Amino acid sequence: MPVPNNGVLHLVKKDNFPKNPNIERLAAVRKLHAQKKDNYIGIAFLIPALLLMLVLIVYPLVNAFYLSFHRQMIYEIKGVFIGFNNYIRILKDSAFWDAFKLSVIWTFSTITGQVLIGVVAALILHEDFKGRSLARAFVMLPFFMPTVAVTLMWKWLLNEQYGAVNYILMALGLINEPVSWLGSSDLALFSIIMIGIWRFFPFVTINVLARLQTIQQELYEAASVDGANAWQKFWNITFPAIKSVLAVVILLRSLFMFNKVDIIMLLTRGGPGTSTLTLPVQAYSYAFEGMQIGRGSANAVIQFLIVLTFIIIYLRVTKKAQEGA
Amino acid sequence: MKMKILNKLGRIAFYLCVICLVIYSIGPIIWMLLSSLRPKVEFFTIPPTFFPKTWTLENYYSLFRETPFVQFLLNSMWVSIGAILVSAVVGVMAAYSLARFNYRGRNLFSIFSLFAYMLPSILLVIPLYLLAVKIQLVNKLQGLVWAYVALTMPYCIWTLRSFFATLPTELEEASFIDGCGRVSALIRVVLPMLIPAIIAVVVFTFQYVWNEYMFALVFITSDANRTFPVGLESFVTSYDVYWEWILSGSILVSIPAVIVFLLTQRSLIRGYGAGAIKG
Repeated sequence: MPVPNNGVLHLVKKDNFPKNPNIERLAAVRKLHAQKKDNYIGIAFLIPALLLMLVLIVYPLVNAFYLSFHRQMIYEIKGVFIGFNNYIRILKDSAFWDAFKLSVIWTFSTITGQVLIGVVAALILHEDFKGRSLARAFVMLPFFMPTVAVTLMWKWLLNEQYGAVNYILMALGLINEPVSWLGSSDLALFSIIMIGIWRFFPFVTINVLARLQTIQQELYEAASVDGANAWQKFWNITFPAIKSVLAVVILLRSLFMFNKVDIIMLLTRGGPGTSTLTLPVQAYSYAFEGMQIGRGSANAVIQFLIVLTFIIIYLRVTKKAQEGA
Repeated sequence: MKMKILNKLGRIAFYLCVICLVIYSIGPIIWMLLSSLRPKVEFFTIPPTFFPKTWTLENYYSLFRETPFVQFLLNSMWVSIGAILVSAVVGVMAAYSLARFNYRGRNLFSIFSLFAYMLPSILLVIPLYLLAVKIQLVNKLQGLVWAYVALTMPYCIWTLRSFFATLPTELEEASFIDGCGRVSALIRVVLPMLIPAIIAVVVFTFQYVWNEYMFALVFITSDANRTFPVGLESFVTSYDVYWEWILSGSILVSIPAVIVFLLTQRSLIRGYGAGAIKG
């Protein structure tokens, strides 16, 4: 069974169909593919996608750049051209740098947590044990629940007065009085990071698990014969095998975590104060709460330029893997 | 003998790890489920009991009776189906074209699709909102469908095209000899082979649209057209938080997502379309 390209795994493993060279009479037909006339049909197949891409991606993209050079309120039809003023104002604003710092902390901590828990979970779930498939399904669930359901669920669990988390921690004697996890500016960032890790670690687990299953069992058996211990086996066989998957997963996750809006908006709206106001949430609040779409666009463009590096690296790796296969 | 005890201890420790992992993952979800099944007065009892003292579906009944939840759900379904249809049909056509024909710029288009998939959604939401205002699709589910097509179609194209590249061309060519045209070859020969990739694409689009919050918040202004992510959140008002509706509603909207996951999880872990979810 061939594997559809999936953003991660195709970089590692590639199934190829055996080609059948015996059908010679097809040579003439195969030429069909190269014929000019036939290509018009091919382009016709692309037209709907091309149109949608132009209207829904290219035009908005260009417009986002265009808007970022204008001062325009959301209810205005036309803005005033102000050159780089939006950018200058943003880069001079300490609020931007605070948001940038928060974004970096948010991305870095959630990625670290996801990868640690995700890899450990994958290693555990790769072992043979009773009830494994059930355990696998359970562990993947946080990632497949709707965002709004898990965020509201955590609000319920973390509720200051009657949340289960406070109750359990107090029963265990870890805290003396109820803690306002999402409502205090000292703890809100920590709380949303914990929730982010919980929500997204299964993504790492799925990809690592898929890779683990392609490692040949003989390698471990041979290592056992040589007297290797569990740690040596992990370090010399497992880790080299999952290294490339991990690299791509970290790259992709960084991109997605950095751009994450919904989970933060639903949990804290960037607050209390600005304690969880990351770059994308800040851009949102400028554009749709402050109604300054020019400035909001400039914010979004800056954020885009930051993640562009990640995107380019990813595109390169992908292209290489495709050509190499 | 010593070895045996050690092995056994190791096994117990391992199972403890498994149990911890499972509790970490679904403990919170179970707690939400159990909370949704207790009467509202029990929400605020201290200390809380793990199991409800009285089991009841009252929260679910009142969710249906007193809120527009059904409307939210129908809207979400409508938007999901619309986006899935457009993204999958247009995606298959485009992928077929990109993988099976020779013309300049087809590689560029493929790479651009992948690029578009990685764009921050915050960059697209402002201009797409303005576009929706211009063509009067604000506060219409149709406008939301097109926005979701913008977010999901590029990845669908990319995934389908890559899958196409792994399919042999012999069968198609044989069908040409048998007198099939391009279109009938696509429908009769290619589509059946493409099914795993189409499933991956449909699941991806469904998960994305079913989850989407920011565009729904910006595009939709009336209760009648709200999808459930914004709808459920509207139960948190500045006066009161309607936990009974929030909890029961959250459980209900999770069911389709969990079913889709259970149906596809085996292939997910085996590697088809792993990561075919943007999250």
